[in-house]
Amino acid sequence: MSNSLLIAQLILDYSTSLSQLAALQAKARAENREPTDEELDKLGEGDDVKRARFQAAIDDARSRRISGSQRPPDM
Amino acid sequence: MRYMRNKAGLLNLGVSMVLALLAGCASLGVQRPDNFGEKIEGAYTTVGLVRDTGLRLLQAGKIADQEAQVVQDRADALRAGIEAARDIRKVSEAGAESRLQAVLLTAQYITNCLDEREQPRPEGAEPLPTLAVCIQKQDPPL
Repeated sequence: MSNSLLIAQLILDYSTSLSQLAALQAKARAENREPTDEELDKLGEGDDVKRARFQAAIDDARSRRISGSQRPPDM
Repeated sequence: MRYMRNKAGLLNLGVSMVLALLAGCASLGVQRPDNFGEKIEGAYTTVGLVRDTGLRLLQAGKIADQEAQVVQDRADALRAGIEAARDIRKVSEAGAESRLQAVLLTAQYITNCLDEREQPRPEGAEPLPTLAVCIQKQDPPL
């Protein structure tokens, strides 16, 4: 993936995160209250998803590195 | 614009913006958080950004799996700090605020280290320390 594509993706993710944050804040403010525990828990669940995705990529990279290091040397 | 040319720098900028938001900057289209719950929201967002950047750096081959695991583990510690701050608040508002500030500061340290990996290195420069060492040098464990 090219750097520009990565940066675009990062900007998109950042914008989305800010949008979600803004939406939650707007909802809570409209009701003149703090975010509820349930709303905060939902953000935590979103982080759980990101964590799982990141860990899967780490495990995959680790497997590839280990299987690569066990390959017999070229003759 | 040079600052915008690498993704870790962009993340650092992003986290700085979130921190600025939490500190009182209302120029992002998101209103200034003035209560604890809103600060917690911002902290969750920051942890997500750290994980996203770790994933992208890994996929781009900028960091190895061992380094990515360090990022993941530190993000886990940040997350645990957020949950702890939420729990502490049930007994102490000041204690919760203090814990949350520590979480956000550590998040900034992590992004500093990720940013460092994206900067061009002059010829003959000493190799960068590992991410674990870089983070540890700035910040004690949460």
